Amino acid sequence: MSWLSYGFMQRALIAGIMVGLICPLMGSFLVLKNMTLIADTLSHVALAGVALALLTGIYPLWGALAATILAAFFVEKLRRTRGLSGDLALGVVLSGGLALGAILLSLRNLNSLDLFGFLFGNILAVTKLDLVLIWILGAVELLAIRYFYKPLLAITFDEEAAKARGLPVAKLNGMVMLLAAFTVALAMRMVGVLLISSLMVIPVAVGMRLASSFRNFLIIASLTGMISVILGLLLAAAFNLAPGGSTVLVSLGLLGLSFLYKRA
Amino acid sequence: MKAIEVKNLSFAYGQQKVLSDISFSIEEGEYVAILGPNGSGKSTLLRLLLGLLRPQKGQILLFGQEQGKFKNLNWIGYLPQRAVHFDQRFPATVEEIVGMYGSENLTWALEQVNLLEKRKELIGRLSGGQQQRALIARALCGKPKLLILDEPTSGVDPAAQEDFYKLLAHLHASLELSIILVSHDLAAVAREVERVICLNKKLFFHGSKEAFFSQEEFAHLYSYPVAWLKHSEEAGQ
Repeated sequence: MSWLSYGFMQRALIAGIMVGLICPLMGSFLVLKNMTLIADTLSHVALAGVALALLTGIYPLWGALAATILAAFFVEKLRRTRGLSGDLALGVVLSGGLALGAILLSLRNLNSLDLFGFLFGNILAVTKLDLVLIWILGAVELLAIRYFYKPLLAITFDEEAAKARGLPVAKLNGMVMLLAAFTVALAMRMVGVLLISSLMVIPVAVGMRLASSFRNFLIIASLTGMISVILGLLLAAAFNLAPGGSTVLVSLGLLGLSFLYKRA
Repeated sequence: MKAIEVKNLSFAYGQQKVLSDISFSIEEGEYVAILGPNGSGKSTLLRLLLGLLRPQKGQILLFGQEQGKFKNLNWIGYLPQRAVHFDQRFPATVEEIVGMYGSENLTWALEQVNLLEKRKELIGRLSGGQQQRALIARALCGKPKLLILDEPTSGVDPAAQEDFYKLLAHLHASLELSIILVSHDLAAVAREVERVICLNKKLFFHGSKEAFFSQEEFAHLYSYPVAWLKHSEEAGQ
């Protein structure tokens, strides 16, 4: 356990607490709105953002943030104005993001270790600046969800009735997309672009199995996410594994336990 | 006062006309059914009344104010079709759903629909009829003056449908609620409402239910013979 004294491990664990908390929290709204594919889409676009940042010398997290925010608004615009179904709009942007990322990364000639880190996460990659950004933006997300809790519940449950009741549904959906973009960009370096969506979906499945209320559902999903990330990081450090893979496997284990606990 | 006043309303999706020059009004406290075959424009009319669509021609007044400028949206309770409006695994309790727009009148609203003892249960665990009652309670939380219901009993078993219509009749009488019921259930319409608005892209009929069900045209509208059968106790009187 001597690796716990290393600065990179402490940074990863502190960042992991927030990442594990916010991924399932945002995932809860996306899953219930049948927009699960948004996390995959944004993470693939984030890869393009990172690749562009590496090519132009910008800090990678800024590149990922800019790309995911742009993609989130583009998807929402496609969905609202072009009459595309949510999944179709996401599929179009996902393919475009991955293709652009692949081309930009091939121009940069990354070594396979770096590429593996982007795809499946890298504990060493969390810098002090990453840690600060993860906690600041994560706190913004938590406050936004706390403040808009009831309107978010309303648009997640029944968008049309919420609109009839006068809620600014388009703005609230835009906010959900923006927060999802933040989440993906922040989680990307820890769990990797290919596994972010798992961290936004599997803890939500645990929450849906065990919850006795909506508040309780969000708490269970977030706790499952946090436990998954912390145990996943410890396993990754102990056995030199990809942190994204170990985190997702822990969350799957917790989902399995939820089936044992409550058969339904 | 008029709860709703529709003047020369027209609407089209692209080139396809859905509503053409519709005019009618509904007084406060009236119980009205909107009828019409599939594709007659009922759902579009509801969406226009609720402000989900903008009229391309004509005007809608809600309690004397133009729809777009109407601010007291809690005066209008909306109940969408049960079958389409939410995932049955949605992890929220009855009281969370009922109080999602404000919980000031939560206990009173749950008492009105007889669901107070179910307030801590997940909404998906309720029967279809109970879920619709919960959504009525959600509307009641805003102390509405008008309830708009879009085929509220589709997918609900007959016994629960009966209970649901009794509840509506009770709310209509005790709270003096105006109710607009969109339904294909002609028997319920014949039994429950006071007036009928019948659409088939144009306003086909607007008047008392007795006058509507005594017309031969409405049978042609539905493409099969329909008659209003009085209950035996009424017939025997």
